[in-house]
Amino acid sequence: MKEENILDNVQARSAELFASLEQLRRDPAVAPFILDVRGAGLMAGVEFASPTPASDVFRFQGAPANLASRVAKRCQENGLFILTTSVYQVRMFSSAFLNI
Amino acid sequence: MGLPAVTSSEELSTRALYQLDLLLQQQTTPDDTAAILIEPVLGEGGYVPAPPSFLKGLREVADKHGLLLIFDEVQCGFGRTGKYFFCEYSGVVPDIMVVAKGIANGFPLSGIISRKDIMDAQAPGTIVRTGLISLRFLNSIYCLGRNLCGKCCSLRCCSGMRRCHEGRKHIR
Repeated sequence: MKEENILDNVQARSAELFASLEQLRRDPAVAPFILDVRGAGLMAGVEFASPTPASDVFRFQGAPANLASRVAKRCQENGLFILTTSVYQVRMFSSAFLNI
Repeated sequence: MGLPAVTSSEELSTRALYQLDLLLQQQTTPDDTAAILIEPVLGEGGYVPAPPSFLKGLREVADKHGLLLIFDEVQCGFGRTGKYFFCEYSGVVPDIMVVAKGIANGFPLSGIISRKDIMDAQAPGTIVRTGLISLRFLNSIYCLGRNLCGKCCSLRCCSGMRRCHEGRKHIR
């Protein structure tokens, strides 16, 4: 890990990843559907808005359903393997360390 | 907690720590409680990093009541967050840390890292049986890796980890 400067590389790639996610968040076309961009290093999560459940204070009726899994599916079709997590609409980006 | 999305992490920490305080008063007394176990970055619950103020608060609560503080760094440890362990960002030191995943480049290894008096309290064989590997120090991983998988890449990964002794620096 030291020889390949992995920690520095994680920090640098993290800055790129979060910069692009934040840029996406500022895009007026998609901004209303992104509730949160969060994480640390190369553990990055994007929480999308969801029309359900009714009791959720962050519920957004205008949002398409199941956004996280649909985005993940489309990414996988294009060769980027990412997963969803949590009961909410969160899509996770994780570094290539195997998440067994 | 029903708070606005703009609420500061300090405010959220204060509220969450208050709930913990109530929990210890109403649901499980400190005398009946052994430890506080937390993923410093919540993994399957939605990738939520704990603010430093929250982890520091947990350390104080654990010290106040004589509880062990356990960090589950299985998913967020070993470089994934840009430090060897996520707890380095806050400087909070747990009593026990559990690790896996990145430790062996995908080879199914896991470990429990702690100080001698805690590890000595466990009867031999009580952890190994479950498939987990009890480690006093990270360098044990090296031996284990060598036994299990010869010269495969996980050995090289562990060997690098062993040289760094990073895990030991972050345990009380």
